[in-house]
Amino acid sequence: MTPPVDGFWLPREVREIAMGPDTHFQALSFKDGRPCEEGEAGAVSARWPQLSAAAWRRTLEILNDNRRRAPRGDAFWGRLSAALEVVGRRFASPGDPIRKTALESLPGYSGYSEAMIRLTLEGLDLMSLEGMAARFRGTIPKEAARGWVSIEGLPGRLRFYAKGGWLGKLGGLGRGSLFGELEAPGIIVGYGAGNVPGAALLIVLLGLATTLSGEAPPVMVIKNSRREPIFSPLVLSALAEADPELVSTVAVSIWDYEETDIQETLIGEADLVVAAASDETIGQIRSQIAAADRRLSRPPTRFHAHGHKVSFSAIGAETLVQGLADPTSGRPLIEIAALLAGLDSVFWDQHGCLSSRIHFVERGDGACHTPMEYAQQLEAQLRLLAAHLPRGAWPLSQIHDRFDRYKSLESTGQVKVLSGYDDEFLVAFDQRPLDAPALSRAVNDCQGRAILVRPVDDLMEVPGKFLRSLPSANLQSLSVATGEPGGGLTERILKFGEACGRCGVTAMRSVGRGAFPQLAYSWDGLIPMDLVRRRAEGYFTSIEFDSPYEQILDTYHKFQGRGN
Amino acid sequence: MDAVQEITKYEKDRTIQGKYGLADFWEMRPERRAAVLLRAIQEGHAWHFERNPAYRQAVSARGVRAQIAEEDLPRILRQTSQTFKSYIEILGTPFPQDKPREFVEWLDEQLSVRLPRERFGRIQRRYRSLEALLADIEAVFGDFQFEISTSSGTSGKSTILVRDREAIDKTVESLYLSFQRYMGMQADHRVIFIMPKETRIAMARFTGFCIERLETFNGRVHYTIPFPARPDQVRIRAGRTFRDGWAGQIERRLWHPLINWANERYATPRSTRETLRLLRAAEAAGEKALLFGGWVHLHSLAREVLAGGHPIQLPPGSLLGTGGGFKEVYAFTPAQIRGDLALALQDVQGQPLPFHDVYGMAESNWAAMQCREGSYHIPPWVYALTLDEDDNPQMATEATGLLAFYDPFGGGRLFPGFFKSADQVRLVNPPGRYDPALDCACGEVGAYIAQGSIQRVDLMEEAGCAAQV
Repeated sequence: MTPPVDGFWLPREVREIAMGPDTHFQALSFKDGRPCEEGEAGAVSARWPQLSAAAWRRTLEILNDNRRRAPRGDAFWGRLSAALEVVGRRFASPGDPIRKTALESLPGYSGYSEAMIRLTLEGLDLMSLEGMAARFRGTIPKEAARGWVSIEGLPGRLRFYAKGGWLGKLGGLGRGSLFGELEAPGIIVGYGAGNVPGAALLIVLLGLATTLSGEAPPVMVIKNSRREPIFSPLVLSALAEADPELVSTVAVSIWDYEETDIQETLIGEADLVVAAASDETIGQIRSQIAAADRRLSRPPTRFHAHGHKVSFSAIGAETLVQGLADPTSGRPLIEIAALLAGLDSVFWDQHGCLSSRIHFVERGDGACHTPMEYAQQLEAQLRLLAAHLPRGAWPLSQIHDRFDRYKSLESTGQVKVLSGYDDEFLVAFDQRPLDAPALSRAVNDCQGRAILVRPVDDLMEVPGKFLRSLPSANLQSLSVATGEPGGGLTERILKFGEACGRCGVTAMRSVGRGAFPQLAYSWDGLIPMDLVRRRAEGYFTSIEFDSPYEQILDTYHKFQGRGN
Repeated sequence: MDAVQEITKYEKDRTIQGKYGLADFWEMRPERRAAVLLRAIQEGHAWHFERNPAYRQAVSARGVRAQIAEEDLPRILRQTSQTFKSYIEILGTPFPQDKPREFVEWLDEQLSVRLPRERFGRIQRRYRSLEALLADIEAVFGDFQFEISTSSGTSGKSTILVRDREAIDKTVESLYLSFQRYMGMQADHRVIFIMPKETRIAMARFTGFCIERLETFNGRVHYTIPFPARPDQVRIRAGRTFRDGWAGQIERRLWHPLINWANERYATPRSTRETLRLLRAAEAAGEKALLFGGWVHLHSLAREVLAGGHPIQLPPGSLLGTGGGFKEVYAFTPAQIRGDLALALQDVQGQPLPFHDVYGMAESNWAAMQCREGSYHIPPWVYALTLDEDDNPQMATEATGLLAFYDPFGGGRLFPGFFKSADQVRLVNPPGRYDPALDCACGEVGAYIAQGSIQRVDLMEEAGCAAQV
């Protein structure tokens, strides 16, 4: 029986003091992404210590001590960037024991294919820390509430959408900053959930980045996911091996939301709570925060909630012009766009909030490939991806049932299923008129590698006819294939982004980058500065490119370089 | 005899379906049953493949042709939750009364007999209710002797399916044989249904038919819910799907609360009183009774009896039956309800009356009834198996998976009775994988669903951070 993998990360000092020989460990075993009995063939087990509320209090004291000694600001960030490079190389290095542990444990525990995990490990460098320092300095002008503003040191644009009706909008008038005084958090409590690897790690990296505001890196206590507790502790332990001080203020482990004494202890100390979890869990945490605020008679604790979301793709007609090709490889652009957009959908088998569900494809004139031709290309690219980046161990019956449903809709003359019954993915071309419930159902159908291709006459129909019918709080990213060679961020793209942002979309990326969000941009409407300052109610939408056409080719070359 | 019936009879005479009656299957050894059923499935498939456009389209897309081998069995299954609900997406509305002619086109595609197209023009352009549309279809195609039934419709989006006289007769026979065999019912009960007489809900309707068709029950069958349960009323009462526009606002704001109020304040108490009256009369006359109702209705009755302080004591052989599970959140568990029923309804010795749950679905022409040991017995003329998560048949003598069934003998000629359900069950001794050591303690030989193992599983689990909207 293989020993359990650590599903927690605690700095050495905490292990020595808060964890004694009597500390009890809890373990869970998973096989093919589903809970199973420990010791079952193919089972992977993960363990974590069961710490009492008193042990967590002691842990907070130790982390606070470490905080006093930790480097801060640019010095910290420079060391972190260097350490992450080392860690990235280790995960990419075939002989490294950390990579070996990851590849031996993550596929079985999480259910995702080994190839998917391998690509993630080798693609850690795609999560850029570039431009983070500038995110905590300077300000975001109120102009962002009235239109797109550029982002210092980074490509793209930023836009703020105020909530709270006309009073909220009034706050965006005039000049000055959208944000208030610096309130860098001393203690962040986080919650990472779900089986997509790295939710806890993302919160840790963002939290540590707050040191760029000039304060010491915060103490961070993060509840790890039971569904995938392995990846974040592995990265943190690798970081600790590279430079232990960098993660000396961080503790990642697992406890229950119902363990009220632990929750009260931690939330009672928190300056900021960050949760990436289901809407139900977020509601539960929100209530616990409110109770703590009342009990301690303190101002409302800041709470960054990242609930469950949906993302989409939009393919502009200008990228479907016949004859357009990558000058380096000669590959037609329609193939590249379909491959990268397909990748945005198949990553994490559409269990992730960033995974694109429906691909909206703009009809062009006679010089353009048709949306149906795009759908055919997408089907071909998904077949390739199925071979190189296989689907995880999810029930095929889900794909079969959707195949049957969409196949039966072919009788309407408005649906065409392009994949086969035995394919481990579904591509269907769907031009039925959809009311809001039917659109919701179509969106919900697109999980586990099911993609609907919907033609639109104009990209503006995407927000105008579709996104506006969906709950804005559930919208997240839009992967786009748009722009022309040398065309940059055109008025058309900005107008499209503006309309999508107004519907609730919080990030626009070029195709192929959907699964690799950049920390410096908006995550569910929150930008890094939100970690250290308060502002009026609303959300940010970011466009993460200046030259979409060139970025698409750049992304393609990067993946090509990785042998995909 | 019309042309359709003639063809059916001719076909029947020359096929295996014509050779065996349903009851014959109890006389067969399990291995023989499996072989006969498999041959009948192959014949039934070929017959429907040739005639049923929707079925042919569905299975052809999976690479299935008219002739199938045993390994093709999983590929001819259609989903219960999808097949006869597909009109919603094809018509673009859950209200077929708004698009009646398109609905009839859809219906025609679903059947293995062709509806005379010249009559399509007799279907109106719009109907005031789903009930009106269904009644008119039955009238326009009266010579087919259609009975249109629905699922319970609590989602507001009903499964709608058609049976003809032959299918209804088979269903009635199937249910009656099972009632007799597994529940020990003879034709000497006073039968009390806590349900409306007028309903299109398949399981209620066919259970009622089953009893009514038996002349020995004349005058001793009672329905105690005083109002009809038409599909439109069921939809509005459930409150999950309303019409668009003003009509929907009136449904939502007026009819929905009003129907629920009337149900709670008037229909349920009246039904409970009437049921009690009938039971007390049976008690006084020493008549055996069969009481059949939903879990919630039975519980309401039990609490009323217990509040009165005196249990009802009925002669030996009296029975309690339920079915349909829980359609809404209910504050009491089945075990609590069984406990209250055991105290409220007893035999003359003060022992709890035998209580049997019935498992079935709108698409099936059979039901699995609980024996005294609690197992749900699949009638032997039905070939049941479980599927794993990839839709592969599970080859064990006992396995937990999605229940699939083939009903080549009782399924009728209008559509193939080959379905994959949305229920996960633990199935023991399926055809072809029989182990006598696993026979139910009640003595029945053949496939059964283990007690407490039925679980609805068609809700998508949220594994990652992707939302359901």
